[in-house]
Amino acid sequence: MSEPDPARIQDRKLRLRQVFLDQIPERLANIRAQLAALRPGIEQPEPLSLLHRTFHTLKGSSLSFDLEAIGKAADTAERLAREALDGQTPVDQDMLARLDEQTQRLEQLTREAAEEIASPSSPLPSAPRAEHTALGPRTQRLIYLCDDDPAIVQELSTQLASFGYQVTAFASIERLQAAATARAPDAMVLDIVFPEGHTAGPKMLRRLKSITGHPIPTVFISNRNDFAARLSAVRAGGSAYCLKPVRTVELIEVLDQLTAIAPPEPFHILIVDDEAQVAELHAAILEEAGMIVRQVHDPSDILHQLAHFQADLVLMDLYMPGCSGPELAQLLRQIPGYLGLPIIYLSSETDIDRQFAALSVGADGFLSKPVEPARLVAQVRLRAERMRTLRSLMVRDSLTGLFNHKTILEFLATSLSAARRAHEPLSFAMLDLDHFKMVNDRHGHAAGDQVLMALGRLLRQHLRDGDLVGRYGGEEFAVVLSGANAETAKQRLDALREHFGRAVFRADEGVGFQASFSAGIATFPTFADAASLQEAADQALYQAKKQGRNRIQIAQAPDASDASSG
Amino acid sequence: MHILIVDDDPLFGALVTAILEDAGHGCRVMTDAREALAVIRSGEHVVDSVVSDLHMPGLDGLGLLRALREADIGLPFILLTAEDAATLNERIADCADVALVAKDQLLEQALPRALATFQG
Repeated sequence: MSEPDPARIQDRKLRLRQVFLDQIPERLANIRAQLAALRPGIEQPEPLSLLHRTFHTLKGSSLSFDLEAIGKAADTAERLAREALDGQTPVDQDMLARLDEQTQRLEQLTREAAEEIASPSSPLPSAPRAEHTALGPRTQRLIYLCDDDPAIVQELSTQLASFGYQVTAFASIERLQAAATARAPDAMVLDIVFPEGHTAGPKMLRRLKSITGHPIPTVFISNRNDFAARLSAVRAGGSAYCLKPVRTVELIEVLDQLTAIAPPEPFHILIVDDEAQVAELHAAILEEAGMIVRQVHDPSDILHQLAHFQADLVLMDLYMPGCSGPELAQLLRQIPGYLGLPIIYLSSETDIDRQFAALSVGADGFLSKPVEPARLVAQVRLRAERMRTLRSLMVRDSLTGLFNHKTILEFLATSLSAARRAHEPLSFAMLDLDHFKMVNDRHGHAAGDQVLMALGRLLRQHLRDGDLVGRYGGEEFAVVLSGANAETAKQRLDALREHFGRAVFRADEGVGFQASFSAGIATFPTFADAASLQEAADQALYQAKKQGRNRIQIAQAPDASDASSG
Repeated sequence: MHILIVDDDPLFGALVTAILEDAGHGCRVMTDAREALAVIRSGEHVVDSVVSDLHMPGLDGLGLLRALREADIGLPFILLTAEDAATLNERIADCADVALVAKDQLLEQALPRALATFQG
């Protein structure tokens, strides 16, 4: 072994420190959720001891990673929690406020530490980025919240935090403006009416935009449902408007969209033109606008191409040898899967009557050659976008935004053939919320919906890009994990199960509660086709439930199941 | 030395690994004290000493220490804690070959030093 290099440990430690720092927001979000579950005036040793332990761990790790300020703040918070736990200080509003204050301080210090590390003045270790993403959570989105009603601030901050947002609350628009000028958040949630005026919120947003020069995505929340208030919000650049009392589910949905990390998938356009150079020109224009384009120069090749290229729109020449545009359009319309596929003709045909005749067989538009690039892009984008929306309405579940039952099964079939071709494993998992009926009965349907949404969101955000998640029905979800064998699938789902178990939900009456799920996994090639995968996953799920829930069960091979059961 | 690190926080386990590997030790991290206990008792792996966190869900560091001593396994044991050392010292007074190391800025120096005392 070589002599230890003193620089190496520092480098390694710095990398770990960065990973730790990246993790703190998630730990703080957990603390927020734990705080939200505390009620003044009653004995609650379990949540208090959990809170105490979380602060304690944070303290130890922070100090060891040389994050002294955070360590000290965590120490103060730990002492507070200890006092409450030992019954020295009653858990009253004052205690809750002090705990809240310490948590805010921790949040503030964490941001400062992150900025300090990000600034070029401190020596950044040559950290491989993969290590960060493997260990650290996804970057938390920072939300500034401003309302002059402290009850609403309290309520919304805890709710947003329990959905993984990092929330900083402001009681006055002045302080919000100062903070947002210093550091722009990912989004803001802002009241309309303040003591300063009945549209003070929108006015501040306009000022802010003129100061910083760039808009911050903002959701307005208000009691006002009149035209003037809504118009002032639109004019100030508000992205959404939620009426009070704010439904958390709605607000989260909006914030998720506003702060989406991944840019929307680019449009896929298929160009059919026998003249290669013309096709090339149009492809270049559309690609320039960020679309993905495939060209077909021989119309008879179109079915093959469409089968492998998920086109959002087909752009075709009107006159081609062997097969005309209208003939080709009609041919496509006779295939059920392509009935709704938008088709735009491109031609030098200037005769209006002939244009109409061409459209009558089911194409969606007509562009004359030579077409202006801006017009081509606008026409294509408009139609492709509408197609996307329509398609997503058909394949997605409205509550969770996940694929619906039918779609996830179609995906299972497609992924399975791909796995078979590539000789790779594939896992199919069925998930079911534990005691969901009890959640609904005890806490109401709104709380039940919140749990469904949270699980949907967790699955969507934490599984890999190639994985597919669907809502199977009721409280059942299905996941297709391509390339994952049973063990890998179990590890990934177990991590999610633990993550989910830590979330604290809140019912209308303010009661905090937790939820869990069970899952069954069946893997190809142990199970050879879609039907047996589904059945085996379902059986395994049943086993997981029978063995006490909140666990993941792997389906055994059909011949081995007799030996292992019992 | 072959050191078994027990910490429910994998990140902290990684930090301890970094420190100890740098001091020339071989390390293995486990996040569950019960599993760690099983591994040590099985005797299938060489373990020369244990470095364990105090606070862990389920079986904690003290519990692990006691279970080992009850099984007559006298491995050198280091407890890592962010707790005040004075009160803890009382609780481990009856156990031999145990050292307390604080989770703080000095961990990097204190931990290899504590292990060295067992080696010497």
